[in-house]
Amino acid sequence: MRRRPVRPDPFSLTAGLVLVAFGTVLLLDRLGELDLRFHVMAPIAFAAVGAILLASGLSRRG
Amino acid sequence: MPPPSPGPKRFERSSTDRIIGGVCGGLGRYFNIDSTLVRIAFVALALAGGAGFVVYVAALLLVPVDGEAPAERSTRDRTIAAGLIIALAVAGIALGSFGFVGFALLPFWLVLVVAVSIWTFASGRRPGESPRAVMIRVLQGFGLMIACVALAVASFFASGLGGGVVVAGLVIAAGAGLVAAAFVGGARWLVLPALAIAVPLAFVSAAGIDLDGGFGQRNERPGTVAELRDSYRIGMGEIVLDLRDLKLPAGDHPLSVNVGAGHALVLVPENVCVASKASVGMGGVEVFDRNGGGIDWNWNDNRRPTGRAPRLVVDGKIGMGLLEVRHREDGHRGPRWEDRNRNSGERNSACATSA
Repeated sequence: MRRRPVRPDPFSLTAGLVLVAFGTVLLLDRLGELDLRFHVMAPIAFAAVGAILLASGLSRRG
Repeated sequence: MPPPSPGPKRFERSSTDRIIGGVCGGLGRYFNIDSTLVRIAFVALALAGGAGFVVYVAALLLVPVDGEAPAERSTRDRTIAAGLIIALAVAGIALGSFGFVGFALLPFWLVLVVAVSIWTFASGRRPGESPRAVMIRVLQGFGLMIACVALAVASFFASGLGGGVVVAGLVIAAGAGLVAAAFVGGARWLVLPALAIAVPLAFVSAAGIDLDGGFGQRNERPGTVAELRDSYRIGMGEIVLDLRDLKLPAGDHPLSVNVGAGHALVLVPENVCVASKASVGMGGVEVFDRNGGGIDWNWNDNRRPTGRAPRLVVDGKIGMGLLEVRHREDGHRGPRWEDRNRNSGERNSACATSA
């Protein structure tokens, strides 16, 4: 008998990937590989939070 | 046989169109208008005089949800509701007017909305329909909010004190946990603590805040040139570096000033020329009669001394706050921002002109 593929929760998946990406950027900044000031960091942070909120809204609607 | 009369139209809270208790959704349906307009009106009433808050609480406690028979509400619930409304009204009268109460209640109103929003976001569900269920969700949301604020504060200090790599690692781990949980379900709440630690870390990184160097108030007053160090720092708070007793010889004297978050005041003798540069995450610099500030801001005021006057070469690194260089201590700005365009009236008189 074939098992049905598990359908991932789109919100958790999206938010998780966004957090991994955001955390990686922050890690590189703290390690000195990047030097991100407000004019770069603020859009990245807003985009991350916005993507999570968007995923939350879309998953609730879906 | 004629169809039965539908009966009088009832005002009921909506079980589908709701953010907190369905009051605005129910009113919108009753008057056949967009519930968003009703919500805006409630917020306006809450801000203008507090009446919106009182009316909302009254409706939440007294008006049934659609489909719920009036008899299902117990006498005890109604008594509690009536008591709460009377208490709010008495508080309003006792404090003079609902205008004052409106402002006094505003934080509670905001906390209520934020707490419910946090609970809704974390759980992915709407609060229950009964006032009791809404109250429980508000308390749970409030608890989550407090926990997130505590995490954010801890993340700010940990990041500022050199633990940013660990905090970033925690953000990545939380993200990986969410990805894994997407396939087994039930961990969307993890987003909130992850964001609570990620955003302060991003702020600390962007501002370049380094809290290493101690907290509070520090006064430094080297008596001789030999006692003058080339670097001073404060993590969070204020450092006053008084160099007015020094007899600096001719030539350049480098001075590095690092402020994580706070204020640094450097007091110099009038015969000393001050050249300065600074990197500011968020804040400003004032060197005698020159000042400026902002976000991601660099200051550069390269001066040459007149004759054989000594030159103090200040190199500031300000995460969040203010660096001041002055001759006199009285009237210095401190960490006050409302007068940032005020001219100190002092001059860098031992310097010639800008290079």
